[in-house]
Formats: sequence, C-alpha cells, structure tokens
Amino acid sequence: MAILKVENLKTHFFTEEGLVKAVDGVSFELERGKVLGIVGESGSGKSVMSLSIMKLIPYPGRIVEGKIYFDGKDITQANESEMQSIRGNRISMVFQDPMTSLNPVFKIGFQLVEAVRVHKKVSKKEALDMAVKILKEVGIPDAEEAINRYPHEFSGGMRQRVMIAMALINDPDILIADEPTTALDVTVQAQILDLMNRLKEEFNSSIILITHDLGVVAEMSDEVIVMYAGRIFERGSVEDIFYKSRNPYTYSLMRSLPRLDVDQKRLQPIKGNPPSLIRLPQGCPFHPRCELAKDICKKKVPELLKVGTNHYSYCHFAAELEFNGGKVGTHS
Amino acid sequence: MEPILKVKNLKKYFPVKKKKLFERRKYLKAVDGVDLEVYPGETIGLVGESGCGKTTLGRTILKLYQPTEGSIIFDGKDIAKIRGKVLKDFRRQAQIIFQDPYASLNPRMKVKQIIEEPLIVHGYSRDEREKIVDEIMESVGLNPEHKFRYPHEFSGGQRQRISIGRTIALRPKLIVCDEPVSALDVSIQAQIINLLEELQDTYKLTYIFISHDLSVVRHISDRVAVMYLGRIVEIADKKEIYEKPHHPYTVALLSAIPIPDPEKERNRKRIILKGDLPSPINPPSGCRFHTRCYKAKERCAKEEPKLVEVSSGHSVACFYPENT
Amino acid sequence: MEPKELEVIEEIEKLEEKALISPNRQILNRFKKNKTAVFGLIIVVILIFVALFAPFIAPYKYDEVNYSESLKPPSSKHLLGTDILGRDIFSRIIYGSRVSLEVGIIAVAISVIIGVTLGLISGYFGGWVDALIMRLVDITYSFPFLLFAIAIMTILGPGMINVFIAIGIINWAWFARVTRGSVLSAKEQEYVLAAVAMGASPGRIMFKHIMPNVIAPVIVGAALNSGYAILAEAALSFLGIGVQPPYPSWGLMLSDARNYISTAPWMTIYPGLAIALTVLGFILLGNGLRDAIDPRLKI
Repeated sequence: MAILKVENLKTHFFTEEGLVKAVDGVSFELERGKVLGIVGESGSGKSVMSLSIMKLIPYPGRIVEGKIYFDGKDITQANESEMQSIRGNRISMVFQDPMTSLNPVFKIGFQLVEAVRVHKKVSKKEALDMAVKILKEVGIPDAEEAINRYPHEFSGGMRQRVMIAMALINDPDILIADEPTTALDVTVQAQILDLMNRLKEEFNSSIILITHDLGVVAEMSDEVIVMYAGRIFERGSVEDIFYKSRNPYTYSLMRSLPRLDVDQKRLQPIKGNPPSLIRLPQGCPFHPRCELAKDICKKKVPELLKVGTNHYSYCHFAAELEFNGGKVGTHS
Repeated sequence: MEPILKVKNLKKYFPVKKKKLFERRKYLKAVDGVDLEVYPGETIGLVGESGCGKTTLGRTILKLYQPTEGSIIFDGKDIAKIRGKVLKDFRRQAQIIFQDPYASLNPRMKVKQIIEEPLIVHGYSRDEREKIVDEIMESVGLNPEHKFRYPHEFSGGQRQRISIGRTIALRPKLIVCDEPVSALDVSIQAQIINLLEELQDTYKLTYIFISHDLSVVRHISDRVAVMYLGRIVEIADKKEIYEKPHHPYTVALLSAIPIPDPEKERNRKRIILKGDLPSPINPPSGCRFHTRCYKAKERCAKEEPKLVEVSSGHSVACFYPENT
Repeated sequence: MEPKELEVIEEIEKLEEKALISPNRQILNRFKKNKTAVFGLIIVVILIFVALFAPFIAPYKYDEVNYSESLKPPSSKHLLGTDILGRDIFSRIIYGSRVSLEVGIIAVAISVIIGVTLGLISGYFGGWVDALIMRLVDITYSFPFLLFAIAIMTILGPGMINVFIAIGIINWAWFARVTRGSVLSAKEQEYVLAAVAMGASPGRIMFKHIMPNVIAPVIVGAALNSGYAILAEAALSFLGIGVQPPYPSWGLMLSDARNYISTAPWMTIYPGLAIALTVLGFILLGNGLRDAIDPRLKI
C-alpha cells in the first residue's frame, strides 16, 4: 500500500493582489522505499506542495480542497498537535540552504538530541549515542567530537550532511528533500546524492526529491512528476518521462537543456516566460509557449489522462504524442 | 592570430581581517598566478567550483579589482596599472554581464536610462542615444515600446536581456559573462544562451564565459579553462577537455554532473571526491588538489606541478594526468 | 521551518511583482490603509495650509497691540483669548505656524543636505574619510542637544535664520549615519559594479546610481526630524535665544505666558497644544511612511 496518497490537493494563497493557485488539483501516490522526483520551474508549485504535505503553509495560504492520506489517515483533518508528532518524526524535511536551516546558537549535538527527544522518550545519553551514530552514518568525520561544534564550523556540504542526519535520526517513513543540493558545488552534490542513494536502501524510507535539475531526477528517481503552473503536467516512471513522454512541456524542457554528453548546434528554448499564477492564461496554462498548441488548447483546460500503467499526461493530445527527451540531441 | 587579451602571472589577494591584534596579516589568495590568452571572436569557458577564483579573475581582468601582481595585456597594451582617461577608454571596450538579473539592474532607473547610461558616461549625444537604445532593445529581443518601464515589470529572463543590452550598448570587444544564466529558470536559460551566441556573431564579440555549469560551458565555449583554488589546472579545446580530460579534478568534475538520461546515468562511473575545498587563505602545499585527489602520490604534496602543454593547445598541471 | 516559509513568501512577492503593481503604487496603497498615518498627514496638510494663508485666516495682525483687551479669556471676539498686550492669541498661533513650518522644512533641509552628502562620501569611499566623518558624527551625538544649540546660538546670535542653521547643523549626524548604512548595502549591489565597469565617475555613481536607493530612509527620517526640529525651535525660542519678538513663535508665546499660567491659562494651553499636535502630526506621518515604504527600515 502507498505510504502517501494525495488526492486533488489545492493550496491557494489569498494575497492582496489576487488569488494565487500555487497547487491546483494535484493527485499522486508514493510507494514505500521509492524515490519520487518532482521537477518544475520557479512558480510551478513544487515547493508549496511539499509544505502542504507537512501542513506548513505560510500565511496567506491554505489547503482549500483535497485529501492527503499518510499511512491511510487523512492528515488534512489532523490538528496541530497531531501534525507535530508527525513532522520530523514520520515525515521529515531537508531544505536547500543548510546554513539557515540549523540554529546558529546551538551545538549540532544538542540540536540532534532535541530532534530525538521531542518525539521519543529516551535519556539524553541514549539520544546522544543516536546522534553520534547517525553522524557517522552520513559521513561526518570524528562524529564524537563533531557533536560539540556549532553549525558555522562546518562547510556547506558538511552542514547538509548534518541536516540529513537530523532528518533521518527518527527513522522517518518519508523524507522530503527540497532542492537539497542546489546550493552546493557539483563535486559536493555528487557526495550528497551518493549518500542519499545509500541511505535509501539502509533506511527503506520513501523520498520525495524536489528539484529543477533534470539530471538529478534522472539519477535518483523511480517515479517522476513534472509540474507547471500549480498542476501535474506529467507523471510516470523515470523511463516513461525521459524516453516515452506524452507531454509537450516535458519534452520542450528536456530539449532546451544544454547537455554534457552530446554536441548541439543551437539550443531549442521554450519561448516566452512561465506564467504569473495570478493571471493564468485561458485553457491549458502552457498553450502560449507550446509549439503544438491548437485551438482547443486555448479554450479548454485539459485533464490528466491515463496513457499507460502509472503514466499520466495533462494534454489534450496525450494519446497521440510520444517524445524521447532523454536521448535528445543524440540524433539531431 | 594575436590574442586580444594576454594575462600573465595574474594575482589578486584580498586582505583578511585580523582576529588577534598581533597576528600577521593574512591574505585570501583568490587568484594566485594565472596565465591566460584569449583570442578575438572566441568564447573561453572558465569553470570551477565556488571559491576557485573564477569570478575574481573575471573582475580583475576588467580592472574592477586592482590586480595584486602580474600583467593584463589588452590589445597590445598593459592595462594593469592604467588610470583616468586611459582606463575609461578601456572600459568602453571591455564589459561585464552579471549573474543576478535582480541585483544587477538599478530598481530606480527605467530601462531606457539603464541602457543609455554607458552612452551618457562616454559622451554620446541625445540623438545618438535615442537611436542606439531602440536598436539595442530590438537586438536583445525586447520591445522598444517598453523602454519607459522599470526593471520590476519584467521577468527574470527579460531582465537579463536588459542587462545584456546595457553591456553591448558601447559595442565592446570583450565581454566577461559571469554566470549569466545560473539564476534563470531552465526553460529561459536556452533563450539567453542563444541570444549571447547571436550577438557574438553580429558584433564579433569575444567572451570569457564564467560558469559552474559544465553543460552550459560545453555548449557555448570554444576553449575551456578549469580553475581550482586560484589557479588554472587544465586548459584545452572544448572537444579535447570533454572527451579526453587530463587533470583528475576535471575528470571528477565531469563525472559528478548528472546527465538527464536515466539509462546513461545508471551506467556511469562516478568519481566521488573526498572532503571539501580547502581554504584559499592557506592553500595546501605542492599540488593544491592533492588533498582531495584520488591519484595523489607523495610527490604531489611536496612539489607543485606547472601548467605544461601536453598536446597542441592542451595544457595541464598534473604529474599523473589521465587519458594520456 | 522558518527559512522555507520565508522563501515561499518571497516567491509570492515575486508573483505580486509580476502583477505589474509598481513599488510606488504599493507604498501608496499601504499608506492609505494606515489610519494614524493619514491622520498625521492631515495635520501636516492643515499646518501647511494655515501657514500659507495666515493673513486671510487670522482675524487680527500678529503684532496688533490693544491694551484695553489685555489678558481677555476666550470669547467670540478673541477665539482663544488675548495676551498681556491685548494681542489675539488665535491670530498669533496662526502666524506662528509659519515659523514652525519653516523650521520643519529649512532646518531639516540643511541637515539632509549636509548629512546625505557626508554619508554618501563616507559610505562610498570608506577608509580614513569614513573614519573621520563617523568620528565627527560621534562627537555631534555626544553633546546634549540643547547645550550644543545654545552654544551655536550664542556664536551666531539670536534670530530666525540662525535657529534654522543651528538645528540643521546639529541634526545632520543622524542623516549621515543612516545614509552611510544604506550606501554600504547599496554599494555591494551589482548594478553599482556595473556602473564602475562602464567607466562612470565616482560622483556620478554616488549621486545617479546609489543616491536614489538610499532616499527612502532619508524621507522617513526627514518627516520624523521635522517634528523634533519644531520642538527644538520652540525650546530655543522659549529660552529667548530663538525667534525674537514681536514675531510669534509658539515657543516664544509659551515663554511670554510663563508669568500668567494661573491667571491666564489660555496663553499657555493653546500654543502648547499647537506644538504638541504639529509634532504628533509629523511623527505619525514619518512612522506611516516608514511602515508603507519598508517596515524593516531601522529608524
């Protein structure tokens, strides 16, 4: 059974300038032990979606519709104290910037111990042992000594390891990683991704990996969700998305990327800009930028169509299209 | 062909604040002895991780920072020590594009004012300015009718176009592009890269393209220089460096970048480097990369390898290079 | 969890920006919603109106002496009563608003010009220039305000213009410090580096590129400072080293009223009220502007 099931989730922000439908009717399932990659550009709603799952939506936003079943229970109905027992314990999060996610005035050992003792009745000594063990696990050298250091005494990569340690210390069912390597250098990114891959097997946690980097998605994910303008544009296995995409946005995105592995003469960008969520275009929100747009796309909002086993696409022409974005450039 | 820019033994040190009163003053050696030649019309990619000194190098070449040591020969003249009118004349010919399209445009100036500012500074008449601003806006893909708008009314990609417009207004010969697409959305990056390529063709521009993104650099560059802790460790033609990287750091860097092709990705061998970048205040002895290198031997900690040409146009600073 | 939330709010702010509402428009909208700020603005507008049209509003001339009407309480003939010389208090308050407004504008203008210029130079050039100017600021701050003012007034001699100069000279330090702070952060912006790269001169960079971005705190500070300057003028005039008779300054009127507090309290109450209301008006306006422009401004 899926550990997480999201049904028609809508998270809207009621701003002074207008209604922002940051997440607008999103449904998906996450299986135990799987990695779900969520890709999208800024304003696609990918970050708000993860905050919705944690029920940490900042003012002036709120969940206006939909259900989030975590381990069979709808947590949209859960109260704050129930959520507190879930956050950091059964669902935990790693953010992009490890500097601002750790409290600068406490030693990391203390912060890890707190993370344990909020949720489990263990002695300080036991909690400290757990902290040292998990720090070793994530590759912090001299873990026994490292617990006495403050966050600023670590490099960016090491801090992100500490963040991951803190997220994993309670053995969560789900780890949500929101752009966990975006602020890091590529060689350090490689270390962190390697670490996450290893931990996934050890802890058997499910991971939701939110990123704008299609390379990271290709490396890490079992399943992929492509988001645009607050909606799921395509959902499927990593092979479906990269080699048998049924959605023009997914394909355009992959085709616009400069590649490390192939020579390209000219890049093929997507024209225009991502839309303002306050003033979404009529019909399909991607149609002004879509090369294949027809009349119907300007008028009618598409539906998320099932195009294969666990493969869905949000496009009027999903049934007729198939793209191989992963091998783009190799042929041309 | 004569290089348009020839950098020799360039150094830029920044003084570090003393922590103790009687401590000897320390220096952050951001650029520590760089030799580089740039030829007219080419794009040279400058890659490396944060703290490698690539941004400082770009800014020192443009004299935004006063070099600590070394010479910068631009168009046959050493500009390392010039000032006043000569410097202003150099500024007309060498320009910069910044990474952040939000921080690099003055929020209190209209697009027209932003693009015409360099023209005012260099004494163009009002009529000339009017004409050039319209021309420039069209050539960077902006609607000249929008020239009385403020930067905040534009998206990130459009703002980067404004920034590029300001840069090319004076028709410079050399442009340092400092991470010009890193802050942009994936779907917009390609637009800006294409624009830079078009402008290069139209105006015969020479680019120094600074980026941490090796995919972007592969696409846009003719030659690529890899920097580590203030030094160039490898420099070669694009094809060479991506297909036959010599320096272990280059090899590791290339292998670290995930490719958006799951099949290929699964079958790749990844070199995971140990540890983090050492401090540029106290760089390691010998080869600066030896503390993280998977091939390091005793010699690497003692002796510093020089950047030597191993095949035509391909230089590397390593005792035990790969792929040779 | 806080940083993430901030990030999302920033994301929303970006969306707001995309909705093409200019920053100035947003400031105006926020200001209009703030009732106390609008109240402050109304007081200031009334003050300006009264000062401009004083001869038309005042029923008597400010120096019109009438001994037969000496020390009369408020009546229909003299709305707020009369003083020892039988001068109409209401009319004198009306004319007195001119002094207050002039102090509020001229004295603050002097502080702004000196303070912003030195602040720009200090922040932009740094080094020993910065150190020198900032030590000057410290010295100015370290003197008690009134003592300093009295010292300057003794040197310059009494008189309206000299009051402006004295108050202006003392208050510059505040503007210098705020401007310097804003310059230091604006200087790090890449658009300033871009201006250097295009070959712009330091003067042009300071005044064309940096100054417009430090103006917000200066406007807020000017409004707040106007209130304090008016208060300072009243104090100096009260002490007899400010505005000289027979011209009516509210401070001077209070000074005249000292001996009659029990017999003719209207002589004290109404000028006092005028001062309090005006100062309140400027301070509410200043606070309102700060909240509208940027609530995080450290003023």
